[in-house]
Amino acid sequence: MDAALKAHLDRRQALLDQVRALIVKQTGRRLAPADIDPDAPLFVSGLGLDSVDTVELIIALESELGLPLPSDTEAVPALRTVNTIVDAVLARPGGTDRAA
Amino acid sequence: MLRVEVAVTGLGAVSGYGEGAGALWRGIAEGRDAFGPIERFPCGPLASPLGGVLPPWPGELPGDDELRWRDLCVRVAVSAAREALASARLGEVLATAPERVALVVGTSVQQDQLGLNDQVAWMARALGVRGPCAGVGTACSASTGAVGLGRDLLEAGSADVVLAGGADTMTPELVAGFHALGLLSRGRCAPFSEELGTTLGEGAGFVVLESAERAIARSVEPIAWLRGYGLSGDAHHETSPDPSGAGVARAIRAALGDAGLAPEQVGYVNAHGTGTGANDAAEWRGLQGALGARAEQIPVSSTKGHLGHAQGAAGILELIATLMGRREGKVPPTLHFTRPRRGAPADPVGESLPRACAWEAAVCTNSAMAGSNAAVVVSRSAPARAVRTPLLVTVAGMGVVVGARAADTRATDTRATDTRATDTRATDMRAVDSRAAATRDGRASATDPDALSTLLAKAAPTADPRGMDPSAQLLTAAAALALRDGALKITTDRRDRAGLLLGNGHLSPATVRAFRASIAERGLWRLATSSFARRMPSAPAGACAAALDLRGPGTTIATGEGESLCAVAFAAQLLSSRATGDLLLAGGVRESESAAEVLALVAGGDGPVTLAGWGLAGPGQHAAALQQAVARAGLHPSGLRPHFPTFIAAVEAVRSGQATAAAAVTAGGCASCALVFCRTTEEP
Amino acid sequence: MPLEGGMAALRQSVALSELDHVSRVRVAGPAAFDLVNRVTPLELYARDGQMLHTVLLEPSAQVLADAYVCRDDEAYLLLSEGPAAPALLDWLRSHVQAGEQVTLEDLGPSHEMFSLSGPYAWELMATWLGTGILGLPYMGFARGDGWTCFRAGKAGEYGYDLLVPRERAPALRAKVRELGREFGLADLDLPSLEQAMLESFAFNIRREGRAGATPLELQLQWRISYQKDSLAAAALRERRTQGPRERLTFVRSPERFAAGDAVTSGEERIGTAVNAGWSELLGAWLGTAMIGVAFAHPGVDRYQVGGRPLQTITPPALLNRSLVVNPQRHSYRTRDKDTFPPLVPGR
Repeated sequence: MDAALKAHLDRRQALLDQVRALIVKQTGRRLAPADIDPDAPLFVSGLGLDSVDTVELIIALESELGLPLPSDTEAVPALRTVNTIVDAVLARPGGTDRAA
Repeated sequence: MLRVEVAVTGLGAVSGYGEGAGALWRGIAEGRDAFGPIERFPCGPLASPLGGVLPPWPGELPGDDELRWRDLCVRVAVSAAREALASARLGEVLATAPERVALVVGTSVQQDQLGLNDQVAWMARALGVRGPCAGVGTACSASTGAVGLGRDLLEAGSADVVLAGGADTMTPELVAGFHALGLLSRGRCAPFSEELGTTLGEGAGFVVLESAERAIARSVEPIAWLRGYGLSGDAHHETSPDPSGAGVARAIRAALGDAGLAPEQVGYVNAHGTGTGANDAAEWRGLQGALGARAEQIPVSSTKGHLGHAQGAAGILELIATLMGRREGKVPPTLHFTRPRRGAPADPVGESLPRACAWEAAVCTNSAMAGSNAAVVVSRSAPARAVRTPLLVTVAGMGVVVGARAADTRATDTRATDTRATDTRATDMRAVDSRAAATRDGRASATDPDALSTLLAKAAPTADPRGMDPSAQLLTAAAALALRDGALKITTDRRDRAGLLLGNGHLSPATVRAFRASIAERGLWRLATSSFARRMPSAPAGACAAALDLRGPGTTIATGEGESLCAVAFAAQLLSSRATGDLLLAGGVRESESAAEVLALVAGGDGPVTLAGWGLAGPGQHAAALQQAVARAGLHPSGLRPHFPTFIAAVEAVRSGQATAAAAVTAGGCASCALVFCRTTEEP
Repeated sequence: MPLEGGMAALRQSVALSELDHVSRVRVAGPAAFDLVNRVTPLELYARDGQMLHTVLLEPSAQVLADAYVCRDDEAYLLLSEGPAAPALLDWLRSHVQAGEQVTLEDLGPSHEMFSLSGPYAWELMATWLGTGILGLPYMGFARGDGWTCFRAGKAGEYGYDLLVPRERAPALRAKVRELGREFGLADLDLPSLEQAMLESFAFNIRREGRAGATPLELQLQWRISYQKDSLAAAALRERRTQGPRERLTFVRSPERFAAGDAVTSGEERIGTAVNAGWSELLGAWLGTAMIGVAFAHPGVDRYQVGGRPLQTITPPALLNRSLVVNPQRHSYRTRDKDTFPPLVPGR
């Protein structure tokens, strides 16, 4: 595969691993990061995180990934799955664009 | 036998309005709130945090932060209690018979390592109270529960006068925790209205409870009559209330049932009404569930718009506001109310000044994190005397965990020490029980998280251990073992009448470690909300009730040494004297010893062991406690020697046939307690 | 393009779907917990009135059924997609151990099931059954007079599945339709429901279930537990140790493609399409594909499927209206006053 594609895939994998590790740590679940499906719902269904977990996660995402989620309008769509979080991180000013 | 009727003969309060119940009502009557800027400690990211803050308190406070809030809490409690005693003209009683005066306090300010009972003991000492004392550890519903338990102490004959109420002061951790959970209003608390959120408060309040006979004998005119109380558990979630409001409804129904009153006779409700979306919506549903159509015909207001959410003191301050208003034929309004939120009460008294309403009976209700609900019913006129037959209480099962292993109590060595010494140590129990474990396994093991998980999975396979700290797991395992021992299942038709009464005044060391670690790592204002939510002595009870689906009456009391026994005594009184519960699990947990022990008590059951008598008295007065227990059991005290320091050994002695009757006695902590067990066939 | 009919109702108000494709069985008796616990790869941490979303697995860890396990006091209801009820019962029966007392009942002959789903489904339910139903939490179920209501839903909207005795069904449906008129209630047929599930990346046993894969590849690890000693535990743990070689990925194309089409990255074969359907909502062909893990990330638009351009995207395909509608604040009756973000940005 070409360099640009590889860079994109590597970047996403790295963020995937980072976000999953963060979720495991913040929510205290006895899971290995790889046990969290990248597209599984995080809240309500899927992992079934709750409002207490939301708060923990938002705090950690801001301090460790520099992703501020100041309001529900931003947080709700961003926190749906691990991949939506990764999308939000990449969409920050300074985040990488996808492989075109 | 005639039921004891309980009069409220005095009251006292300290709040954001200042010292005195008079100051409290004056503030409400003048339509102002007690909110001011929180300046006692820095509030991090909060722009201009408001709270129902106490006015500056005279006297030096310790420099150490932790001690400071606890110290202030004790001082305001003492001030409010003294006002209550003075208003009931009880100075003389205290001087002549202090061991017949009891103190029951809801409070949540506590240091990481100490027990809630230390706080309570301190207050008792300052007041000269020497009767049985207990803390109630359910935070937001604690003082309402304290009033109910105070009533039970009178009924049980353990005291002649009860000071019941609560006290709490704001701490940085409290504000940070509520902020992290997103529960604080950006403005001023507006229950049932906009905007969402609560404003914290602080203060202390007490009512003086006495029997009708005593009030008459002393020529004291009751302020009101405490007709009944009810407790329930949501069995739902750590921080959010059951959205259906069913738990609140159960507590209110239980209170009305205890009072012998119908919804049509209720003229006013003082709601918990914190102002948060979750609480207010659930609470209105609960009120409708309990009161039916009546809920929409009567004023339902919350005084948190005036006082803020005073945690352990919330219920009592709100009850006092209700009683003070009634003196003038009024009810407090819901301050800051503008537009009703969806699911707001039909008549939330959204006005700024109190409204004329001469209710005959009123309900005060409160709910807490970990799902414990409490409600009391007060009336203006004296009730007709009712006849009540106390129910027999039997021990259907027992569950014991020691060193994170289920202990086979049948191997228990039933030799015990005599409690002539006032110093009943938990080491006796450890010695007794590790002998049991050692006999069975060859060795006693220390704290072992995997052993605990395995034990819990076996004892309660449908209980989700994730999100349970070790205290919660230990208690749940012991409770599940007790149910299994008694072949009891909490089926759908039983769970509303099955509850848990926990004797515990300590915080889980594991939770405290996690809590402090999160603060050290991320700063106070980003503390871990899960640890914050579990940082209550009642947290294990809430988790256990949720895991085993126990929705009936229950609470958490703290008396220090021997609080497992006290919990059993309170549970027995509750079971025998009212019709709201069929099954109460009662006992204690000590995470530092990896131990928990629970009795499954059944009202009118047919197990081989009967809890024939119980008694509570002041610290060191175990003889008096035993006297009460023996009198109730109708036995002669001489047949009960030696006394066991734990109920485990006593129950086992009777169960195994080694004794026809046995007593478990503790003299320690801030209450002594005696439990008398006998073989069911021996019961006179 | 504006949505029409059942899809419009599902995404904007309330839709009614028949659930004939859902098997419904009841396991009761003293050994009910033991049997259900044995065949379920997830810990049965459920109180009475709670349900768990899981999958039933063969010992190889391949997915046999997509099931809700619902604890009804001491009995269990299984609402399952995949095998028809008789086959499901046979499978369950094969796992009963000697001496175990258990009754297995197919509720199909005696009960009908239908669902009400959509951003205002809660409001229709409250209008029909009273505001008490609003207290029913997600993955909880409640029993009423002639109905059992499961709060679940696979289309990413508020969803209420109703289990109703056959003799009560006509009257209940009539009532629901009558009340539903005010909400623009429309019927959503199974193909449309499946398209809606696809848009929500919800596992469909009849489509993704045919890939012969395990929960690890299917992104269904959240429905199983590696700690649990169940039928498929050994296979699951082994797969987990090895790690997945491919992963189910959400894809879209401006051109039509079909299940079975090869997925390539230039010359290299990287996977196979598993499910495909036209999405009116996105104005594109949407689907799922099993793609080699190194390639299986969203945000790539230079793959091909059956030779046609393919993009990998992050599911779900829309910002479901149900995520932003709040029963405490909103109402279908006043929806014109409310502003919500668009279902799909830019459309």
